[in-house]
Amino acid sequence: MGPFFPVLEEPAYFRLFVEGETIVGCDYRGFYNHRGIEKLGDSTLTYNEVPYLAERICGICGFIHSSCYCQAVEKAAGIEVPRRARFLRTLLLEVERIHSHLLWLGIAGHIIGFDTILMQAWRIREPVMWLAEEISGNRKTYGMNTIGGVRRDLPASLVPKLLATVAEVERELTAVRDAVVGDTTVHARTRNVGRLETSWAREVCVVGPPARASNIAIDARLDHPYAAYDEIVPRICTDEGGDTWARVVVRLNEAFESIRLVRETLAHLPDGPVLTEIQDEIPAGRIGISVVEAPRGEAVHAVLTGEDNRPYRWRVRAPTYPNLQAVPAMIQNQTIADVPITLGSLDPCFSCTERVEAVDVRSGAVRVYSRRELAALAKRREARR
Amino acid sequence: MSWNVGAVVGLALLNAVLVLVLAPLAEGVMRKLRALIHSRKGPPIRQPYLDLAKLLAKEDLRVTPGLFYAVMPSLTLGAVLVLATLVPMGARPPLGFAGDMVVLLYVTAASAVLMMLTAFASISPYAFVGGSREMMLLMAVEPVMAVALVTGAVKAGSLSTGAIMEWNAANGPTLSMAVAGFALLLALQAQAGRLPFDIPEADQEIMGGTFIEQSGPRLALFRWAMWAKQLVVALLLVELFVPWPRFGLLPVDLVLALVKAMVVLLLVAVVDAVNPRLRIDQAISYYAKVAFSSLAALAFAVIGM
Amino acid sequence: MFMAKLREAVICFKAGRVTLPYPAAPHDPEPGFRGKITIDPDLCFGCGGCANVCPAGVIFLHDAEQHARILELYWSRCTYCGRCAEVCPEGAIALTQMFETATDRAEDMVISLKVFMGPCQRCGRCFPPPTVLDQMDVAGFHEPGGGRP
Repeated sequence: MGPFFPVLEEPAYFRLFVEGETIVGCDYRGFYNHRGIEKLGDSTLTYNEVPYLAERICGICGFIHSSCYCQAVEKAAGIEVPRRARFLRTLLLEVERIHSHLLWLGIAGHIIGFDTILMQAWRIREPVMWLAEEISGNRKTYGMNTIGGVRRDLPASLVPKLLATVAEVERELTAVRDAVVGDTTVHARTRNVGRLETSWAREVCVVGPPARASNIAIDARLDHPYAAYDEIVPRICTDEGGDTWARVVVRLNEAFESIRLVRETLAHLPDGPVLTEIQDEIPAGRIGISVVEAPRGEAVHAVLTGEDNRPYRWRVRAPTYPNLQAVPAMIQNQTIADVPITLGSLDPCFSCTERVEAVDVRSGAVRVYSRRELAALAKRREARR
Repeated sequence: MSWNVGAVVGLALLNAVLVLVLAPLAEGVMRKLRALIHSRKGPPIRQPYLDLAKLLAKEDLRVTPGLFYAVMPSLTLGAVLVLATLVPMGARPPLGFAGDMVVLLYVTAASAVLMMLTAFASISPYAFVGGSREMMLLMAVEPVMAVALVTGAVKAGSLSTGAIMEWNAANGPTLSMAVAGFALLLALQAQAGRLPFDIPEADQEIMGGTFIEQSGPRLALFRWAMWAKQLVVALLLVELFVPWPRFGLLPVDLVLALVKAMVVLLLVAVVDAVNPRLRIDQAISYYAKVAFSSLAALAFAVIGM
Repeated sequence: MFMAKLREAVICFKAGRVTLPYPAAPHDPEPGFRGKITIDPDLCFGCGGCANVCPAGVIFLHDAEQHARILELYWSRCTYCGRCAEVCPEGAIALTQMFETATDRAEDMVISLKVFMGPCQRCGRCFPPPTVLDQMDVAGFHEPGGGRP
């Protein structure tokens, strides 16, 4: 199935070895969509320009990537982020988690043919997007992160609106959960489908909701607290089923938990500045590693600081990368019809996964474009059009 | 009653043309209802007509050579229209004769088999999977239809659909006919190609399934055939199992039949909107259960209920 | 099972129709929305701060003739991050609320601004005149085609 994968409409190639309709083997071939993001980050962008690129790694979970990068640089340079900024980052991270899980619920419904869940989940999600637009200026690419804090403050007038929106989402999501939990047709498609055994999940190092649904209690917010998570502590949601239904349950519970965290963050939001002024140059040759719990799992960014206000090396490990390794085991002995929902239940974000630069720059075959040359290239293309 | 050739031909044409013209309208109303359930505005009711017009105007692309492959869509639509002339619409079916019930079952299967053949003739492996699913679903659903119709035949003492309809109209509701009608309603969901049984055309799983290689006029005719089939089977259901009230006047009965068929199709649309798709093995076991249970209807008919 | 379906149907019907009538009715974004860039030619004096911080690298400044500086913004690649607006000392470059920016003319994709500057008498390089009147004095005050965005 692929390279244009039918249900996710993303590039992925799964070579399924089937007997009739039962799958006996699977080969995953990915990396059809290399965008050169890490290369761009290494070559032409300054420290403060990379968050905007990081935001565009993923079409759903942009803010975690920009936060993770900023935290990595702040760790490397020893920059202290003001408390209010940390709380605002937490707030936006949880808002993003709510919208991502609602989006996923819709997609999962769509995969099993249940378009009504898609429409309703996305209808419930829409006020969250409007809210994000009001807070940050854009529905998805918030553009809020910068080294040292956040660029915009949250006006006090927005807080009641935030609370009202979140309450509305909670109410509607509760209704949806109560309806879907008893739906036997949904159960028929998701129970005992795509089973991931706990031992195998541990061996393949699955992260995020798929791991938690196989009874592995890992969560980067608790294991490596960042932003304001040392003060606003999330409750971990696990399930023992290990099948697609367990993942549905875990994500639904996480969405409710995020709503609770948003309320708690707003209740304890401290006053103060939102951006630390950085007086000195960021020293070169330091390493900063930051881990953030994305809606899909653990995302890791590593930054090696460099000269001239630019990072020397920026490495991104997206959460979907380890999760995809578990797919062959999960679809063993399932039918073809179950492959899309199994893959979908991992919530794969191919955008996050498919931007790794695999080639060594120093091999001589790759040309490094300087800023001027890239600019000239852009201008020539514009003039030609 | 003696029929002259002109009346028969005229009525047959009327049936076929009505089904042809009204099928997209029925589909449009069903789409609007589905959109309402989805909390959105949805396309205008005339959208299926616009879709057909657009598709018919496109280039006819054929990957597989051969005359038979080329005429497959027209044959499928033709089969469904023949079915329309065998189905009572307000009066006895124009091409009805004693024993036409068997022909009716064959023609229903024929349209499905033609779609299946098209799928197997297409190059894409997705089409192959869709075709095999269509075959399995057909084998699961036909027995249910057969049992339902045979129940009616047992009660009416005749294998003619017209006779079954008139018997039912005259003798009022009976338990066996009610159970048989319910079984046919469940079979309608699969015959109409609607969720939870739109497995051959599962676009999320196999990108369009049986129709993946069809485009332009071919796709238009196939879609038209699908819409016409759902309308015709709904008409069959209401005319055989819910033929009341009857007024004896063709236009009035015809309109009444169409209205009842539309109500049934709206019910089909609601079930379609609130269900996910079942796997083929789940669908087959479901219909096996339905077939078995509908044998109860046959039992009731035999013992006189 | 039927209860679940019934609950789902209730959710659907209670929500009603949420389709907005846009574009038949306008749907303006909230204030603070990061929309299309606009440059005020009266305020820009060609410092180049915006070009320096743009992450997408779509703002270019170069000197032309003895006393003019051309600023070009290729906003088809603009990511609407707003850094240019943040650093501009005069507030000349700003983001508007405009989001309906589709066009089928490629020329619309370039915003071009010619800033007239006075050359230093000693070294001959440009610097902007101190007041607006002096600016108008220098060599006329006009924008080439497509200047005012």
